[in-house]
Amino acid sequence: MNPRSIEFLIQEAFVGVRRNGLMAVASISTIALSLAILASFCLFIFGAHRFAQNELNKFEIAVYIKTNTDKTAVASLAEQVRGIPDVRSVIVYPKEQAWPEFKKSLPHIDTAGLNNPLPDKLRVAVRDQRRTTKVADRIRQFEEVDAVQDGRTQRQYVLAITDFVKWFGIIASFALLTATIFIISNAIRLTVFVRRREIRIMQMVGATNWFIRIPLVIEGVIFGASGALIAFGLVGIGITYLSSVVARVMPMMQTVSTGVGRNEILAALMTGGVVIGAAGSFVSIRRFLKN
Amino acid sequence: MIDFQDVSVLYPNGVRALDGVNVTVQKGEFAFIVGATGSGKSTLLKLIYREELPTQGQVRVMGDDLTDLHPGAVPYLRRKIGIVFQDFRLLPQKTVWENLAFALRVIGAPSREIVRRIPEILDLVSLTHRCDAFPHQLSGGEQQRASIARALVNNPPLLVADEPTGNLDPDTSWDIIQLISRINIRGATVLCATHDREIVDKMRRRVVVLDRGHIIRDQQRSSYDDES
Repeated sequence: MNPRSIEFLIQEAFVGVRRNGLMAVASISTIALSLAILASFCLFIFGAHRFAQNELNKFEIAVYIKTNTDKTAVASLAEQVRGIPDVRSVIVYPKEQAWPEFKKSLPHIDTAGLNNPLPDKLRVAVRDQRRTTKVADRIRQFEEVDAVQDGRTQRQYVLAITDFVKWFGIIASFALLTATIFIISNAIRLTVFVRRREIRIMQMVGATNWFIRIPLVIEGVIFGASGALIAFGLVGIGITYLSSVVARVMPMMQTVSTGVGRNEILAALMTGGVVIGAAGSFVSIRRFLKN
Repeated sequence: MIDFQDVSVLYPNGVRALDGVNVTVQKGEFAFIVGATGSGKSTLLKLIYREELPTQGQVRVMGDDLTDLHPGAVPYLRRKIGIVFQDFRLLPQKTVWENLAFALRVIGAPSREIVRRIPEILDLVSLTHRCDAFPHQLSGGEQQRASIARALVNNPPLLVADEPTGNLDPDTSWDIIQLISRINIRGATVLCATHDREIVDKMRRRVVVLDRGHIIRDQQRSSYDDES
């Protein structure tokens, strides 16, 4: 196929979209709506999962050190805990720092004349929350350690929610993706179906299958890309609106984000739209190209 | 140009459209294929442009054995055959000019050639003034002339017309047949299926009569009904 023909076939695709205006509008709006619903759902799941993960990462192991332990031993213990695999960070929280904070937080308790009764404490953050119990058990074995609090019950509760959000998200997104692919390819199939007579005529004047196929596949790509752009606009409007509502109604949730940037959303929508559009056209045309 | 040897076509629904047909058409000939509806005229033409394949026998067109032709070669066969249908089959979303240009684009003709060739053909079919019209804006006769123009635009050596006057009034039908006749005089072989008795009788050309899939008469300079 020479460059002249390729230029002609690209022109044909745009003329085809323009002259089949109603069909194009129907197809593009179907694609836009299905992609917008899919993208919104995925973003919601990303947001929920990230929120749960953030909550989970706030859990720390509190290690209370026996009161008779001197500062060198505390520092050495901190160093040893840091050496345990899966430990992300260890912060030494000395009792001299804890005592004024304690008094400040409970002003109604009369502490005048009392010696600082608090122990030194280590705040241990773990890389993988699923390993927290193991790490805590390991820390318990150190001689200097008096008590360890690893928030086991609450942590497991949040962990279960995180898992649920993750698996529900994966399964539901997959189901929704399948439905979206089905809806989009049906919309594309319809645009090809109404032109089956044209395809037959083109065959009668000696057009090769590729000559017929290329403009229709390009049309599928145009439909997919236009639908994706509109979907991006709809999702953008949705995010802006939702953010303003959240800021007003639930200010504490304002910092929650999906962790997905606008460029990434656009890229994902465009890829999805273009691939499904092109593949949908390609497969639909094949039926009508049999000699 | 065309050679059918013992050709039969049996459709999956059990209808035997052609049964042991033998016919040869020489280069430059003009032949009418006549017969009642269901006699096998359209099937015979469809075999020529490889819309159908015979269930038995051999069909040769311009040297190609169509029973052996690779599907990828079918478009190239059709570029050598101009096809005219009763229902015109113009591309509905394209103007007359674009319909003709499409047929030329298909064969990879350069724009220069397209701009030179289309006015010539539009002039031949007297449709120059309607070149920007879409098919639905044309009368039946104009659509058929546009369809003939498209069939001729890349100078095919063979023109196959399946009931080209079937949807037209008698005057327009006569104009169309005259046009096809002029194309034959310019050198193209013409095969025209019809059951328009008046036209066949006026033209006095070769007549091949089909009846329930059999050729029952094949006469030069003949008429619709048997004169012997």
